[in-house]
Amino acid sequence: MSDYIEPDTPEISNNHNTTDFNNDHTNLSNVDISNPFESINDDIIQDNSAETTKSSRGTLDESIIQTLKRDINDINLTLKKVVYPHFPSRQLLSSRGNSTDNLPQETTTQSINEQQPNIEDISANSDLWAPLIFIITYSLCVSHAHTLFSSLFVLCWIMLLIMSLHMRLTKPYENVNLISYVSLSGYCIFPQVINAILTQILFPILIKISGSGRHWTIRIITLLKLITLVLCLLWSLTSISLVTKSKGFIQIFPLGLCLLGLGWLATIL
Amino acid sequence: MSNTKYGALNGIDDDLDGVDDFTNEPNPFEDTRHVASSSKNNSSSHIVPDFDTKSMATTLLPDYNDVVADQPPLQPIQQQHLNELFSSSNNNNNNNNSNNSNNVAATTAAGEHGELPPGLINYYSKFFQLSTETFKGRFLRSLRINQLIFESEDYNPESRELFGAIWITCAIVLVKFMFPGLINLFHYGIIKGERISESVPSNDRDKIYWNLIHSIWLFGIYSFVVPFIVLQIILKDDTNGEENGLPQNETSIDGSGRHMTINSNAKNLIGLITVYGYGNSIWLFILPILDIVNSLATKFKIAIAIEWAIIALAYVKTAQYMNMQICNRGNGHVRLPFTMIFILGFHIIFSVLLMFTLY
Repeated sequence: MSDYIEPDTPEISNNHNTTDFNNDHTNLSNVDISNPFESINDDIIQDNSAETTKSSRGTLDESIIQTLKRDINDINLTLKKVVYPHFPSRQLLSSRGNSTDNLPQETTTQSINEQQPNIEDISANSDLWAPLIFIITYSLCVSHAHTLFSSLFVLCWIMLLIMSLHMRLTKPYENVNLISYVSLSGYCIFPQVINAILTQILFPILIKISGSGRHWTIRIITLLKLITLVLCLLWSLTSISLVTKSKGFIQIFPLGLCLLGLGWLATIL
Repeated sequence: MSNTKYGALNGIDDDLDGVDDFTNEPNPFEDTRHVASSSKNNSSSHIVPDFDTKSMATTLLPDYNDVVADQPPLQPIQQQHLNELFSSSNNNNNNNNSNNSNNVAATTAAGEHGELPPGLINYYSKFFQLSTETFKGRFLRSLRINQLIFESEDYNPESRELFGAIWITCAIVLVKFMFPGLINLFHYGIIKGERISESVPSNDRDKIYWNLIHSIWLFGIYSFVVPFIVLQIILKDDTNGEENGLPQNETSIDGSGRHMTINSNAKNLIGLITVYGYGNSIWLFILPILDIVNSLATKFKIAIAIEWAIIALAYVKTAQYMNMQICNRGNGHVRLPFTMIFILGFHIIFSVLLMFTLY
């Protein structure tokens, strides 16, 4: 018993228990004897196992690679809920157009809301690791790891804070705290990171590769930069407005302004 | 969640303090209004236009003990009925349920607690609650000549907001930052097919970022600090005008019975910030024009004169706007109040400094 390492959270211990008991009862290193109500809690844990994935971090009995993989998977899971489905594709736009044209308004709103992930579910599992990673990547790409990095890093966090404050102030009746809004906004700048990678790394490489006919290449790439800016801006804006259920000009315009500022910096610097 | 292990514990008192001692009492962590609204949201979660978010945001909810003390224990059927009543009162904001004693108790308790203190974020949310139509109407009226941005000259606390002042100013700063870069992008990147980093001198690129910083502090001070100074002058000027026996308007009398020459909406800080914020909206259109003219200034020297002419026109328009919003229109007496001299003076300084950010 002396070599037993107690996990940080009871949930993780119980998760380990359920999996390990199923696999092999002889592996006692993961058995948590510190919780006498373990068997009573099993039913609750099993029901909530999907929801507790985010809180089940911080174990000491796994390798760093495993922890990193799990964290990246968690971030990817949230991105799947928050960002990926809201790419401004023809399907999304047409579904919106059809729904608003043909169906009654109440039914339309209901169906849209059923498709959207619940903000409280997402915000309950919010984290700041993903925004930190996105902001560092964005700042590195845009500044080319030079002196501008610190300014961009601070500016990005200020932008997230401003967006969160705006949402908090315009929607005081929502049961979401400021940090959750910061996290959600941070996830929604993911398209801006893609924009920064494309405009600051990929497009310059394309210009260097094309030796002859350089003027036309630059013209095309400049146009591509503008198109990427608009697409990524629409993507970010759609994501953040759908996930936070921001509606109307008053709620969306400031978000668009902040995201446009970030996108423009990546395009012009 | 059916748990036989939990079920086995029901009704058994283990003589120890625990959850089983409080099973007959209502759960203090359950907010009936929240439950009602969230259940409503599940069915159709769009924001209802009549939803009184401003009062919800700025009033303290009653303490749990206050509400519970005023009401008898609720049966499950009553609790369900209460949820429905709260739900309907949130949506319709009508008096159909005014006979419900629980609702009255909650409202009374909220009133006794008063507004939120300014230290909380939700206190400021009332300044950001406005409809798109209101914003659009004010924005368009601020661009027209001889129109008040507020719906009436009378003092109305509900008409004050900070949304327009803050976000119009931010939009102007962003336009000021974006437009020179956009011109360079089109001129060098698309028309000439050259790399901006090679074609545009680094000094010019640095200038764009310095101009951004200068725009931020300039517009920040003009939109939020100058109104505070002007308010002090307005309050002093208003008192002096009354003491000196200057002709006053007979129809516009404020709550305390004093005659006024200054518009009542401009007599408080938030109202004045709103006036200054919407007054900036003209620069949303002037600054891009100035940037385009400025990009031609290297080739045509007359462009500099055109720039000053444009900024003078913008100054005249904004000065007229300020006079319209701050001086009371109901006053038949034509007098340039002492305040207006200061307001126009500040505005001249601001316009000239803004002009220098072009160079």
